[in-house]
Amino acid sequence: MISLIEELIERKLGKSQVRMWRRLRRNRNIKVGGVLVLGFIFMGLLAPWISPYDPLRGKLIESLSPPSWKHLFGTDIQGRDILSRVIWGARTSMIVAFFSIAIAVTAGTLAGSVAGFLGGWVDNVVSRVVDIMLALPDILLALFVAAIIGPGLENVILAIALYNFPQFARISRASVINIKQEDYIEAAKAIGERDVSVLLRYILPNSLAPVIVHATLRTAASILTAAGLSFLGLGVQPPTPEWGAMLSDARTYLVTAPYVWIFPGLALTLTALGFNLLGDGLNDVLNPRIEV
Amino acid sequence: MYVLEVKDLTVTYRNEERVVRAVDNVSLKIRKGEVLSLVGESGSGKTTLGLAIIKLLPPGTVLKGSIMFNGKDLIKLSNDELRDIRGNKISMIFQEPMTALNPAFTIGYFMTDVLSRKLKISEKAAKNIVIESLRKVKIPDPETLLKRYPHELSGGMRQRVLIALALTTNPELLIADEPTSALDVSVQAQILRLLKDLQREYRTTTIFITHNLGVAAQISDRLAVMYAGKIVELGYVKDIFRRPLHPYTEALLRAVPRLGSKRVEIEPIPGQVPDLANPPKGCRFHPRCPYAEEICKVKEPLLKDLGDRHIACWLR
Repeated sequence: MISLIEELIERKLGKSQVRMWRRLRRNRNIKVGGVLVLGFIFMGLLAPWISPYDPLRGKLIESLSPPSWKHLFGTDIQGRDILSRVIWGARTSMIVAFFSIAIAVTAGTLAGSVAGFLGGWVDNVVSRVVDIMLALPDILLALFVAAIIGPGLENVILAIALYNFPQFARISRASVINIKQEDYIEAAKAIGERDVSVLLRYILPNSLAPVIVHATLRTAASILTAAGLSFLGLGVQPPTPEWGAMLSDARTYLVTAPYVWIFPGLALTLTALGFNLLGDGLNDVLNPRIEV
Repeated sequence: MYVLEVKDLTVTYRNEERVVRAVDNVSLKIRKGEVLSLVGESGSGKTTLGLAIIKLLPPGTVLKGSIMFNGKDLIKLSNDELRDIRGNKISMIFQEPMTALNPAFTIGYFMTDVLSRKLKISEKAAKNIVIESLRKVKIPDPETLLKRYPHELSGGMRQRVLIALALTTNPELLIADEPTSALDVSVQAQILRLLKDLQREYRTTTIFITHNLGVAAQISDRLAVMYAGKIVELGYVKDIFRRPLHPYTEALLRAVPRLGSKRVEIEPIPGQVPDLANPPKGCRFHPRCPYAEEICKVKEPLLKDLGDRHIACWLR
């Protein structure tokens, strides 16, 4: 079945894409990371259909019941099914991760590549702002923003996007400066390409590889930060199912009811692991020069 | 009929606070349909002259004089007007085919995209021109090549693609900057033959920049020998090879090994290319010239018109 799908995919692709696809598939980090990440993405997407119970409503008589056939992961203090909450939590984490990284990548790449391309005072302004932002510890910046604009899903997304922004700006700036010196950029000018075209058609597509790798790696960190903010009560608010908030709630029963924190903790760890493995694997395949 | 008339062109740029005159008071007329080679050692200003024609020099470079093309002075044109000429009326081929193609796209996508935007035609029409142009440069199966990425092609193939791209717009002037120097010797010969065949068929006026006299002899009609930012001798290839007039040309020819000649030793030219930030007074070649006289050290010789030949030397 799998080989049939692969054959179909390969038939659709050109020769060099097939080679890329094979290289991606041969890489063990990508395989393991990809399976984990895809698993959690599907978990989040299919949450309404696969979760056995309503994640928001529990029966108080079943409060803190240990894992059983009825509740595979047990229940929390309010008698809510933990498996269902873990499944819905995947959705929350994926939403936060996807949107915050998407915003950070878009804004960061835009600012960084324009700075790298134009140089001069534009570069100076962008670079100094980025330096200042990078000087602040990640979690502190996120905390600061969350504290000012208040908790909630959208604000968490914004806070995390903001602290990821300078990293993407710096990476794409470096990448653009590097590519600006390539022969094909001069060749592009020799065939009369406009600056905008040079940036969009020549520099950007060639400078994206390190950005993609970093985005994958930062996704893991962002999911952890989002969980951290929720743990501290500054993130997604109850009763929305969120892994960090679940861990926070479980503090009281660390010993008496370990299943309350083990499963969300495990989900969080596996998701972060998955994105990190995927990022490392992509790094091996997309940036073969820094492969040791 | 002249396609391009360069008059009193001086190119100066700053290099770490030193002012360098890379091209100094050069005048040159290029006839329609001819191949003119710019020959010289590295640092003679030949590439700078080539790039100056399409104004592709680093910011801060100052151009003086005039470059007349189609009745317009390229030096005075705005960036927008220049962009219309670049890659359209004047095309360029570069030295490094390995790195001169955008690696992000397939050959087909890249060429079609560039051409359709350049000529403001549909992608489909552009694709037809691209395929036709790839046939011109003798690529056996253009349709397959269109799906390839640059990194899948050899250096010779890439140079063919770049030549094809340069020819898609039927340029009135082609500037080829050492197009064969980065290639293997056997591939060099193929590319040179290709350029010659194309030239015979389409009569594209070409400026061919090379340090290799052998290559220049094979491809060009006329030769301009450059030394330290100046043209020292200009004339028909046959005449110059038969009887070089300028001592520098003479020395250059003696420094080239020739198959079948009785002379076994090649003679290097003594001394070094002068520092262009601080060129010698008088004739720039006089410190290395075996015939130098007093006047050569004091007064700069101008390019004299001897009919078919131009030469800048006090002694001839």
